[in-house]
Amino acid sequence: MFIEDFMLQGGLSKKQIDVMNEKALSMVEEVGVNIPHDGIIQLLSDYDGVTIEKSTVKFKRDLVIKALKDAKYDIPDYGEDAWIVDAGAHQTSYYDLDTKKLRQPTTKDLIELTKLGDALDTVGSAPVVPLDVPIYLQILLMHKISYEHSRYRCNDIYEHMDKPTPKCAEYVYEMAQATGKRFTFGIWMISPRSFDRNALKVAYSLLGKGTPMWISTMPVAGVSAPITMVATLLQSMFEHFAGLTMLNLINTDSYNYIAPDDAFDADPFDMKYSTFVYGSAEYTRATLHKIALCKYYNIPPVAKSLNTAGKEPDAQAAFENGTHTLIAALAGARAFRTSGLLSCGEIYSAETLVINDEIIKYLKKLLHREEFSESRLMADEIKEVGPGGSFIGRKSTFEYFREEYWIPELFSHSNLGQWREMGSKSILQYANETAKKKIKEHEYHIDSDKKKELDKIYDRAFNDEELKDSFKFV
Amino acid sequence: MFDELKDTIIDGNEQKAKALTAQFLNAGENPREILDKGLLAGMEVVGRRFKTYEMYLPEVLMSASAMKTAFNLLKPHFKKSEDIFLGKVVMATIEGDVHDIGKNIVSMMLECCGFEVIDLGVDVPVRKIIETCTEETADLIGISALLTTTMMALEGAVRMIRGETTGVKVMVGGAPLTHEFAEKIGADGFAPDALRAINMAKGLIGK
Repeated sequence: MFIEDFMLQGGLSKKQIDVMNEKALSMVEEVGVNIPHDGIIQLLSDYDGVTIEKSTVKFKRDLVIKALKDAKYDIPDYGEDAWIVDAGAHQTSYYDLDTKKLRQPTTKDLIELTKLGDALDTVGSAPVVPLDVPIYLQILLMHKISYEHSRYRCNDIYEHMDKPTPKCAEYVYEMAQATGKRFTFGIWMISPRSFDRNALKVAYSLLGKGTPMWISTMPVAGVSAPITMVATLLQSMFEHFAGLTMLNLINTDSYNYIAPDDAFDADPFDMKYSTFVYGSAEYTRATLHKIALCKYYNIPPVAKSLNTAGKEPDAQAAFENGTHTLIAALAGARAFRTSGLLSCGEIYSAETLVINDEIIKYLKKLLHREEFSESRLMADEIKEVGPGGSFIGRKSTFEYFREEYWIPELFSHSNLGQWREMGSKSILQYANETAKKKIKEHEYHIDSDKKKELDKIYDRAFNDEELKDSFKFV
Repeated sequence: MFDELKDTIIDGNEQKAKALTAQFLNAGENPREILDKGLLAGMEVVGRRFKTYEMYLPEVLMSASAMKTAFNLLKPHFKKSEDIFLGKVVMATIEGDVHDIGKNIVSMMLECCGFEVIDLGVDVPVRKIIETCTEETADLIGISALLTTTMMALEGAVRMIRGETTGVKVMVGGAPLTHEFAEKIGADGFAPDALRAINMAKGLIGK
């Protein structure tokens, strides 16, 4: 038997997804979702095909199908052919690069980790929450630092930063406008079948501003969704459909979409420790199903494959991240999220981010399709170099070796003697040194004029009592 | 003056290295200076970059090849071999072992870095190594072994060389070997790769 290409078998079939699609559409029509916001209910009541009973809203399937069709996924140029790594999701515990101890992150950490993420060409949200500033300024500072020190962070479809209050959203909007960065607003539904009242309030305040909006939901098997994986996926589909349809009807000045980052997410739950589990075998399998669903609905798949239950940058973290990402890549994903996270998102680790970067490079090389041509078969070379000869000093070796074989920086191929000579360092030590070096050498920063604008907005926010008050009930 | 030749060696441009060397010789430049300031100076940079993993083996070998070609042009201009070589090395893979990739790379690098190399090949009896060393009045013996079985024969080989020669240094190499093993069997040195083997060879003969 010949292996024609790298491939996977298994996962949800098209026929099975057809069944799930039909069921999810029926549920949006017949079961409905809770939308606890009078203004939005009022807006929805204008539409045919929307049934409202108190705060429970049901949508006819044609509205859902239209919303799915209208959805727009603006993948940036750099995401077209490349592998995308989305790093960070505002963590509140951080492994200090010097002491190696866990502690709360500060503004300085936020800056350094943003620089590191940029040096590694990652996208996504801010890596850590600066817990040394008051809560009402944290989100603003995360956006500000992202804008100042990175090219892609908080600036493309892979971003999913919170804007918890209308006032906070207003400031972020202003900062994005001042710097020419992308501004979106997203709503996470509260499974089962409900919206977050606060998120709806913010969304409502942004209507008419031309803000792209996205929907996301994360039902948890056996907790906020039925216990089986397929049931949790079905609930996820249903909730995504209802959320997207609502956005499509109320946010008419811009486009709306299902957040690719968490599209059709369905999270396992460990009943022993009562914890979310990422990186488990079941979650990896769920990733396959999510990718199949994304393909079914033409949504660019993003695999949450770089999150792990490992508490340290250890064997568990490397195995779970490597296996999960390989499976996702084999299924066709080229964007991978939550790099740098440990303990299912409780911890951010710069070393893990660096190690994951190496894992991604490894997998890219692994799935590289073999280039086949007459000249690459090098039959003449074989003929020319006879017994006892060597190819190592040949011009062809010199010309091809760098492209043909990946030379890893971290997963060193050195022999024992060389490794000892280089200080007998562990992968973790190498990752630590690499992280520090990349932070030190990082150069990108926003234009000084734009930085001044950001400073002004931030200073204004600092003294804004209304903003401060808006966080009292978050 | 010799910077271009030096850079040509670093770049591994064989044809250009040959042409420049010929040009210098025709212009009446001192062969010793061409060798030291052009060829060996270039190889020194290559060695340094190889050591810090900025240059990789195929690139080093391209440089070595350029160096060797240019060096062949220079050779006839030296009166005696001791004027030109750092020292004489007998290289061999131990009896019972036919693996020679590493040994060949070391031989090639030694040659390019100024040593005169007598490579006896693979599966070489210790007796033959000793005889060659004596006949050629070599300064150094380099023996390699790839197999864990043949590596054990190195201990006897070193003992025999010690017993039958005077003043000759012995260095050993090969994948399963370690510094500790080399020390245990009484070898003068061990190197984990070609570049370090060159440095070791220079150190052993006091150059």
